[in-house]
Formats: sequence, structure tokens, C-alpha cells
Amino acid sequence: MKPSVNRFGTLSVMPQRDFGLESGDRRSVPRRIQVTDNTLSLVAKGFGELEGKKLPAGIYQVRVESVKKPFEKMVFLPPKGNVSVAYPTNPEEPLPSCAPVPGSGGMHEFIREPLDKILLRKTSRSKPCRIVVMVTQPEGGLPIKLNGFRLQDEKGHVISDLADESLFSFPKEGGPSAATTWKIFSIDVSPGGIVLVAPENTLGIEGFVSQPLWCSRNWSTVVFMGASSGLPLLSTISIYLWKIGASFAPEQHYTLREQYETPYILRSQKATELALQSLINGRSLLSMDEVDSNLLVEKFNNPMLGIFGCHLLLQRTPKNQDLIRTVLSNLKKLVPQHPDVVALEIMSRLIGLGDAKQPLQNVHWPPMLRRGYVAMRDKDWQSPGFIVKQSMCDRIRTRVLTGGVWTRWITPDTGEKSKFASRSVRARFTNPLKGKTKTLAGDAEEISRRTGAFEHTSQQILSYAIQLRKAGRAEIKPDDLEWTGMSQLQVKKTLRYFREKDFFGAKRRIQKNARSSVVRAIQAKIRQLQSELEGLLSATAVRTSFAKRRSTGVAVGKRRRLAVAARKHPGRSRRRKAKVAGSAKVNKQD
Amino acid sequence: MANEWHYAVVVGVDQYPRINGGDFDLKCPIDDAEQIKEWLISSGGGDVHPDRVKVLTRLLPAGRNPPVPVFDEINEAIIECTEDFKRRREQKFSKQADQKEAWKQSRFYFYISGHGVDGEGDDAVLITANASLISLNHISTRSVLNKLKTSRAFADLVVWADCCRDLPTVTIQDLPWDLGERGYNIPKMPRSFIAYAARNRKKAYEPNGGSSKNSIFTQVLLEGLKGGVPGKHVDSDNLRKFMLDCVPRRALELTDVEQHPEINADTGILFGKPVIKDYLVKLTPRAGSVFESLPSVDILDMDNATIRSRRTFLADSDGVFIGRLETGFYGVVPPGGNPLQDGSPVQPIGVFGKDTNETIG
Repeated sequence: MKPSVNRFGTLSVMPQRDFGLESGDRRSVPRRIQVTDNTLSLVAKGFGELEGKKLPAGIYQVRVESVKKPFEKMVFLPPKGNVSVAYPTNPEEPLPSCAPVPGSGGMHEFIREPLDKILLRKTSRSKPCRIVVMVTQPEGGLPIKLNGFRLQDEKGHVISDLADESLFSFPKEGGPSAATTWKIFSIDVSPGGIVLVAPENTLGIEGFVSQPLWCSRNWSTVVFMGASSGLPLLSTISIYLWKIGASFAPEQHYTLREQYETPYILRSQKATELALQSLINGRSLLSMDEVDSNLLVEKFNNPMLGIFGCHLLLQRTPKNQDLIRTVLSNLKKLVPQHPDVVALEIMSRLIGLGDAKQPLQNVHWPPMLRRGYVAMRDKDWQSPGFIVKQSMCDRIRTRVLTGGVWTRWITPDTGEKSKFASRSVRARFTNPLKGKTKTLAGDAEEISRRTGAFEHTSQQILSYAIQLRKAGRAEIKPDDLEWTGMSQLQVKKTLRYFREKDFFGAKRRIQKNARSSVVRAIQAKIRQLQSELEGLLSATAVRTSFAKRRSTGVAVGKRRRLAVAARKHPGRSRRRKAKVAGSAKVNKQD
Repeated sequence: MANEWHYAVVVGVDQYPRINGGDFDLKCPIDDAEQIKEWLISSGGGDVHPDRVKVLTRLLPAGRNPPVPVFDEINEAIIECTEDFKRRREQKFSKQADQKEAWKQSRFYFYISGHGVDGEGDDAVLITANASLISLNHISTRSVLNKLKTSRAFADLVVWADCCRDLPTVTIQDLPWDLGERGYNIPKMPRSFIAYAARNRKKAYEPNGGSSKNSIFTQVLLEGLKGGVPGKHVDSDNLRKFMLDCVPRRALELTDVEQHPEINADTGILFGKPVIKDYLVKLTPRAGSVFESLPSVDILDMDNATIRSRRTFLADSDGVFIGRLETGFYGVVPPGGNPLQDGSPVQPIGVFGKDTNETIG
């Protein structure tokens, strides 16, 4: 039974206001707050603060999540009471992100300023886009080195070798070798796709990993990476799209600092990073309702916030369809034909949003976010040819890594030859099936050769087919291989190969059946002939006996007639007898 | 009487000899698998017939060539369970109505402990013992669930996955099963209880030292199953809440790292018989507080602004109040106090599935 109103109290949870910190400190991150009751049921939640929550009087646990140890407090809420819980804020606890944006660990003025200078520069007409790669290591340490990192175009040609230190800007003191806190690289490019290739030593993937970037006209694609002991960490990547000529750090400029847009810009950067971290953690770190609709709608100048935000909105239930529609529409205006926007269009159509009658253009470049790529690949399965054949999007199908936020794949691709092509990667993944015969290993290689699939995937397909065969399946169907990421065409080629090898024994069965049927036919024929022969033989015997009976009957009849005639005509019969006897004598004499 | 139509496959992978020469090995999976098996076959717990609990570790079944367990035998164990269930059901009952009733009581447990892969967001993928850097062999719990759900092989599906979800790989292999239709079209069935030890792209941990031989997630799971949950019944709802609260707490205590489980559960799945488990609670009054020098204190169990129960803890010779409480939140008050009415001082405390020492006042 619900208690009466008098039995309720009011609970509030707030961050402590420490002296020395500005209110709304740029480095603070809204913390997730949870309140549970004595059955450990969640009765209230919020971000940053929880104000005036009415609950029945009783005992509750307040928990505030934190990068370090969470804050927990047991509270008693009396009837008609007001209880306020203050949790400590720790300015050393920003978001674990290297991007120099409000709320993150990479937020340092000495990092934002040089970045801002680069982003403010104009581009040329022929190359209206910019790629910026910034590696940060705020605490310093060993000099930052990007050995093995490079930018490539679709054909695999190296655009920039990021190991070349002369390409970078860095803190003036000490020269390039002393760049321990930050390094920035930038290059102006034409619109389109670029691949960032990086060395990766995570278990199971040793060699190189590629990640797609998309450059839109009049936009900078900014890649932030954190470093530890001088080594950039691919796992820390954060990507922003920023308008060329617009300030990334308006608070640094005397003339811009007081402009009304400055707080929005800072808030949008903070919200972008929170949205990204929400996608990375699989758990919302911000309430999309609390993100000012201005950030996504009216003052929308941050496409990545729109892209991340749309992904988060599509994951929620129920879905805010109007907001999704509006954000998507804004994105199409800001960054038309951006692969991530195309992917979001596909994903929104799956839930009934978007104009289904408007055909989607075929795609050739993968989106930067992996969920978007998976949606594209699924769409291509339903509508073969949606991903342009032999495009980058097509070639990486079976190499894309699972998990993670960003689309990444193992290199080198067969179409991405470069002097950095890693033998180690090929060696590690081109593995004869251990314990199996060479024939099976050869099968995997042949499937890869015919379809262009990654050999590791071919081995998995083979293993899968063997399992199916063991389970008594007589064939493998195209839908059985949808999980591989292959296209329908690649699957057809694979199945054709299985048929040629008679992998499931269909030919042998047919031949066996055929042999059996021929034998049966021959046997049937033999039986038929036998019966005919028997028939013939028995027919011959009947005629013979019949003929015998006939001739015997005739003789008897004749004698009878003669006897009757003899009785009637005795003289005639005597002359006849003499005649017969005379001829008999003559015959005897002969 | 055993749960006649319950089955289980329990897998623990502790050694990965083909990865980094043994650097990848774990301490707890064999004990994890053993303890889960013990709960499953105990009459107060899962009450599953021992013949229907298939345990696959490096040691069991004996006589296999390492590295084990591998994908094939895990696969076969699950299929054997589905086949055996179908066969026994059909042999025992000739009428479809009786077979349907038997199906409604069925359950399949799938427990895994070992290293894991970052799957497609809603998956926990166990790396099998014969995995190598060259080939990250694995089995996907999401694939198992999808196949069993589609075929309606069992009415209840329980997956407990104590493995990391952070290592990337290329392509999660689907399962080559085609079980066909095995069950019945009943609304809201099959039900499922799916608990992963860590969130997407995060690690699960083993304790650093301490007396327990189990991984953190499995420790808390077993504690909850044995009655540590709030309330008398261990059902899907309160087991989920218990684990969401206590796994992070236990991880911080034992390893000083964050670990948050991910749990999705349909309501109404009961685990084991009703049991009330209590824990030793010691309350030390702070010097100068209202509780100092009291001969006893009252412990109030409050719910919805009413006092559900009141019990008394007596002070020992050191003035420490000692008693036993079940998991839950309580208010400690001086004898006879009622903070809901007379505003008496109250110290809120929590008991979270383990013995508790608190300072009050």
C-alpha cells in the first residue's frame, strides 16, 4: 500500500561547491547518480545532480559514480524531511579522454591554442578539406613518436608518413625530439576518404590496423590521440569535425571570449566527448534530454555531436523520432554524403523513419563508426550491390574488427599494397588449419583467392562447413554465411567452390544413386527378358503338344471314316487296301 | 525430487597454452566451474540431476588431450542436452499436452569462465583453450541463446558469463546448428536470464589474493544464489539487483578496479528453494555518540515509511553490538526508538551479501 503524502521526504544530491573552483568548472563531468532502496531497487537516478526527489521515508543508498572510487552514502529520509547529500568533486577526475575539450583529461590551454591556430587557417580551392592529427601527453614523459603511422588513400598510396617529424608542429622548447606534451600534423586534401594506418599489438591482432576518415568540403577532420611513454594509443582516438576558419578555442581569443556563442561552443565540445564516451562505454554518461536542443538543432555546428547523438538516440527506447529526424536533416545539410550520415539514414529507416521512397545512393567508403558500417553491410546483404563492388567498403568486409566504436580493419588488404605491408600480419592469419590435412588449408586459401575474403574468415567458414557436414547437413545455404560479412556474390563463389569440391558429398550421392538406378534398371530388364523367354519357351511347348494332339486326332478320325466306309462299301475298301499294299510293296522294293 | 527437466553445461577455461607461452592463463575458472556445478546439483540449489550437468574444464572429463575444452565439445555438450531432453520427453509422455507441460518446466544453464572477446555489443564470447594469436577460437553465448530461443529447445535459458569483453577479433562465428522446432509457442517464452561479468569492452577480474578461489562475478553470483539476495526468494529480479550492486562493490574491495556486470532478465525465474541467509554484523559505536555505552540497540527494517521488523543487538564486553542480518538496509536506533515518529537518532547501515563491520554514531 502506498504511504500517504505525509510519509514522504525529499532527497537531493548535489556536488560539493569547493572554493577555488569556478561554478560549472570546465573540467567537471556530470556524474551518474543512483539511489536504491532496501531491496536494492533503483528508485531515482540523474546526472550531476538530483534535486527534490520525493521518496517514502526510509533508508536509501546514494551512489555517485566516479572514475576513481564511487561515492556511497547511506541516508535516512524522515517523513516530511528534506535531506541533501553533497558528494565530493575532484577536479582531477575528468573524462578519460585525450581530446582537449571541456571535461576531459586532455583539456589544457597550452594544447588548445596551437590546435586553434591550425584550424583557423584557410584552405585552397583545390584542396578544401583538412586532416589534423594531434597527439597529446599532458603529463609529459618520453618524446611522442608516431612510427608506423601513416595516411593512405583508397588505392593504398601513402599520403603522409607520420613517422616523419618534419611534418609536425610541436612545442617550441627543445625541438621535435622534445615534443613530450603534444604534436600536431595537418594536411589539406580533397574531399573524400583517407585511411589512417597504425601499428597495433593487441592480442589476436598483431600488425597494422586501418581506420577510415572522411573529409568533407570546408571541414577539418580532427583526430585526437593520447600517448603513453611517447607511444600513441589507438584506443584513445577521438574524432571531431570542425568548420575551417572557425575557432576551436574561442575562449583563448580576447575578441571572441565574450561572444554569446562561446559558451555554446564549449558546451557542444563537452557534450560531444560525453556522447562519444557513452558510445564507448555502452552506457549513457549524459541525458540526451539534458543536452540543450540548441546544440543539436538551432546552433548546430558540430556534426560529430550530431552523429554521436543520433547513434545514442537510435539506441534508446522509446525513440525520440522528431529529434532523430531533425538531427539527421541538419547533418545532411552540414556534411552531405558523409558516410556516417548515410549509415544513420539506413539505421533510421529500419525503425520507420526517413523517406523510404527516396532511394539511397550506393556507397563506396565505410563510415567512421562501426555500428554504421555493420548497418551498411546488412543493407548490402538485403540489396546486393548497395556497397559498390571492389570499393574500399567492399574490400574490408571480412577484415573489420568486432567491438569498439570505430570502424577498424586488419591490414594489409590485397588492394592496399604499400611498402609497409606487414608480412607478420599475413603470416599470423594465413594459418593452415592446425591438425587438419593440407587439403583443408588449401581449401581456405582457395576460398580467399576466389572471393577476396580474409583468410582467417575463410578458415572459419571452412570450420563451420565441416561442423554442418558432421551434423548431417547435405548442403550449405547462402543465408548460413551471412555472419561472415561477405557479400552475396562472395558467398555464391564460396558455395560454388564447395560444389566443385563436392564438399557435402552431393555428387557422390548422386553418382551412388545413379549407379543404383542403372543397376536396378538392368536388373529390371533382365527380369523382363527372363519372363519373356519363359513365355516364349512355354508357348513353344504348347504348340508342340497341341500339334501332336492335332495330328493324332486327324489320324484317328481318318481311320474311323475308313472303317465306316469299309462297312458301307466292302469292295471299295478291298481295292483300296490292295492299292495301299501295292504301293507299300513298291516302296519296299525301293 | 530433482528438477527433472533442467540441464546445464558448465565450462571453465584456465589455460591457454598457445598464447604467449602461458602468460594468458587464469587462476579461477576451474574452481568457478566446480562451485557452479555444486550449486546446480545441490538439492537446495539448482537441484539438477548430476547426469544432466556437463562440466568441461581442463580436468573434466578426464583423459582428453590438451588443450581443452574446445569449441567442438562445448557445441556437442549443448546439443546432447537438447537431444536428451527431447528424447526423454517423448519417451515418457505419449500425449502432446503432457509433453508441453514438461517443456514448460524445462531450463538450460550455460556457464562460462575464461578469457573473452569484444563481440557485437550484446555478446559475451568465450575464447576456447585451443585459441592462439593466429586463430582466436571462440564460442559466442549470443549465438547459443539465439539458436536455443529460435528452436524453443527449453522454456528457460540461463546464461552466466564470467569473462572479459574487451579483446577485438575478426568475425564472430555462428553456430552450425539446425535444431528445428523443439518447443511450443507460448507467450513470453522462452524466458531468459543473461548475466555478463563486465560491460561491453570492459574486463572482468579475478581477486588479488584473499581466501576465495573464485572470480569476482562468480563469487557474487554464488552468494546471491545461496540466499544472499534481499528477500526470501532467489528470483531473476532480486538476483539481478543484488549482482548489479555487489559486483562493483566486491571488485573494489578485492582488486581496487571497476567492474560492472551487465544483466538482462525476464521476471519470474526462480533459482533454488526459498532460503534466508544472514550475515554477522558488528556495530562499533563511535566515542561520544548516542550509541556509546548503551546495553543494546534496535535494528529497524523499514519499508514504505513503515517499520517492518525490529530486532535487538546486545553489546558485548567491548560495547560492540553483535547480531545477524540478511542483505538489506537497516536503521540503528537506541532501544525503543522510532525515527519515523519521534525523530530519534538513527544510523543507516547496509548489509550486502557478506559479514559487515560498521562504525555507528
